[in-house]
Amino acid sequence: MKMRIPLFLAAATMLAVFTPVGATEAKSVAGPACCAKPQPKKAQYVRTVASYPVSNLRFLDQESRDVVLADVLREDGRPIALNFVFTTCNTICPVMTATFAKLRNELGESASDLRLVSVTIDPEHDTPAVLHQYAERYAAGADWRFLTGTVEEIVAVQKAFDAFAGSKMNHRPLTFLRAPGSSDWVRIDGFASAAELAAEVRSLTPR
Amino acid sequence: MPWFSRFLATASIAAWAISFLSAAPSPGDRIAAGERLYREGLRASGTPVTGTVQGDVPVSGSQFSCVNCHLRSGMGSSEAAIVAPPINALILFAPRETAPHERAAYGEKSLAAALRTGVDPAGRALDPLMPRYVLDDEDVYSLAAYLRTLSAAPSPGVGASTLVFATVVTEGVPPARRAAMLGVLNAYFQSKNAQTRDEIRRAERAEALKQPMYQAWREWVLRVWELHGPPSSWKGQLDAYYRKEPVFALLSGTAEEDWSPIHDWSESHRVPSLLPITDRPALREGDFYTLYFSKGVALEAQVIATRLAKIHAPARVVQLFRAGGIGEAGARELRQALQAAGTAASVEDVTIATQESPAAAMRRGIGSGPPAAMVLWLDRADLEAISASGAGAAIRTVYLSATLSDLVPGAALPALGDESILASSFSLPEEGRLRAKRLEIWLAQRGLPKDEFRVRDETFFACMMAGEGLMHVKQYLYRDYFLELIDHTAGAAAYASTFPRLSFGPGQRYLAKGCYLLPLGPNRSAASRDAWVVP
Repeated sequence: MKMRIPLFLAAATMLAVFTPVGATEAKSVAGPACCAKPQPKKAQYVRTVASYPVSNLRFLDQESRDVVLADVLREDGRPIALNFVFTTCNTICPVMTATFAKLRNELGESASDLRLVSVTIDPEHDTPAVLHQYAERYAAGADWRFLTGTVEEIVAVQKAFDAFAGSKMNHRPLTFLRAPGSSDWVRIDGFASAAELAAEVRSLTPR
Repeated sequence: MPWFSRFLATASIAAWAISFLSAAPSPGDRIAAGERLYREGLRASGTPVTGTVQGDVPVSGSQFSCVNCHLRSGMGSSEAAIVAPPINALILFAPRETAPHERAAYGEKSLAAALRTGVDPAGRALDPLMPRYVLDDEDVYSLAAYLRTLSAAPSPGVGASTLVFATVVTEGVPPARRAAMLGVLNAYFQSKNAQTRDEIRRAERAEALKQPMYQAWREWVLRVWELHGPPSSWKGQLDAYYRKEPVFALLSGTAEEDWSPIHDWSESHRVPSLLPITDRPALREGDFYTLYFSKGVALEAQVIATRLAKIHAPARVVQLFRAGGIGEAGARELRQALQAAGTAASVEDVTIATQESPAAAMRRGIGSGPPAAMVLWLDRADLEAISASGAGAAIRTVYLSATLSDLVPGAALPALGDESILASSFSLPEEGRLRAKRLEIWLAQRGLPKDEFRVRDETFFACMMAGEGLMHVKQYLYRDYFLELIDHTAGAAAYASTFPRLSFGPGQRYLAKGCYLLPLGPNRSAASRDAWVVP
């Protein structure tokens, strides 16, 4: 069951618990043609909260290990961030992957307290060996799992996260964040900077 | 003293020239340095360029070179709503008049500002996804020099009203295959031109239709490039054909021999080669210009190795093949793939000697005791000989190549082993039948026969992909852009009936990525999802 919470409501209800972050409606940030001044950065993403069924789909990770998605996502007291990418993508995946890499630095000492999961949407090309190379390019450590599987499983997991766009060329920039002890996911639709994502992750971690 | 002043003048000009030359690289060097920066993200110093995206995410040239988003052609790319705009010579260095993105033409200075600070000539901020790069003046000059050459004019082979393709056929190709391929090509070109001849006239005559879309129409012209003699002489023959008349792309084409000389020629001349019909593709990761259906036996070998590593290791595996053929190439690939998988399986190679029967070679391969598995890189006749001899009766599992054997899962070929598993990236009969309908009707409409159906299907698909690519490049008839747009034509795979799962992607040059591993005999279960294996 998925809930789409209007943003102002979400912000209002979470204000007491979480650090509010500057998510706004995704609109172009191109300013008027006149001004060369750097503009204050407006967020380029939409934040919603939803619950997704986490199934027993099986995948292979970048070390060719057989894994069950429910195990990868199993609660261990740490927040988790998940995205969908493919390694030959020209446009959005390099940015999303670089943002994940930066996100860990951004969180400083708590970096190892964050788990990252990147699921390929091009499973027949992105074999474990290809994902391994890709992970190395971004210096991903042990807490960052890259997953591949059969075409059917990869379609199923995208559908489970309401992230299936039919073709990988219609791929959208989505990031999913889950707080420790929560079964809900914060869905980030659009591009968030590493600082914005880090703020989102901190807001997930109750102090 | 005139001679002295003349000497001084000459000397000072020479000194000036020397200092100038040593400070600034030659135009050719600049373009080369610019290309390296564009393609590999390397600065003149050889170090990767660095930058920032999304305001705060640091990136380096190995992840974020220009080519990554703007692609080789410079024509840009898009994914969902995210667009990397074209930055080729004609577009970047001309004013843009389309609202709301109007801007003056870029020059070196404004290019530097855009690259470093993300501000365009109109003072507008570029998308935060465009990295803000750290570049010195020389880097910018080099990049600008390269961009002024990038997709600056239509590619060779593009005439005012024609678009010239060539198809390569070698001497050794059986006549039936040659006729099937050329029959489809000629009919396709004829149909294409019949449909578009009016578009060309519209573009010429109707004022309202003088739109880019109509400027894109060209008559397709097909040349047949026949290659004779040994493969080592092909390069010279291709050069001669090309000198006589450059072509935009090679389309389909077929050879019995290794495709590598044609592949290498395409790569060095930057001529796209679309979907040749070959069981011996060149295996060159990272090359750009030749698009293949599959890696052929190499793919089958990788898939068999994946299965062997999973279930039979560590154990003895024997492979049987004839020297010099594609079977030997398959055997070599399997050995490498097992090594790469880190298995402890011992692999023994047995070649069928001249004058030796396949069954005798099989017995020799089995040796003192049956191996855990045998891989028979053999054609149908050899397999039938072994089957008839009963030589494989003691073997538990035998693996076979669909490319070599022409067998389909479920085919009856008894007594090769307890279990005979076929590695095949081809459609199962029931899958292929449905998908073949479109081509069957197309052939019937043109009075063409259905023999050599796989050849006809692969040729037809190559033509379809050329049509798709050209439809999307519109008037921007650049070879690299053409290939890039084909890479994005993910949905077209459904038009092929020979291969059930072709998948496209940027830079992916072998479209079939996996094989079925299914037994011969009546007990196969095609429904099993585990039957499709990606190595």
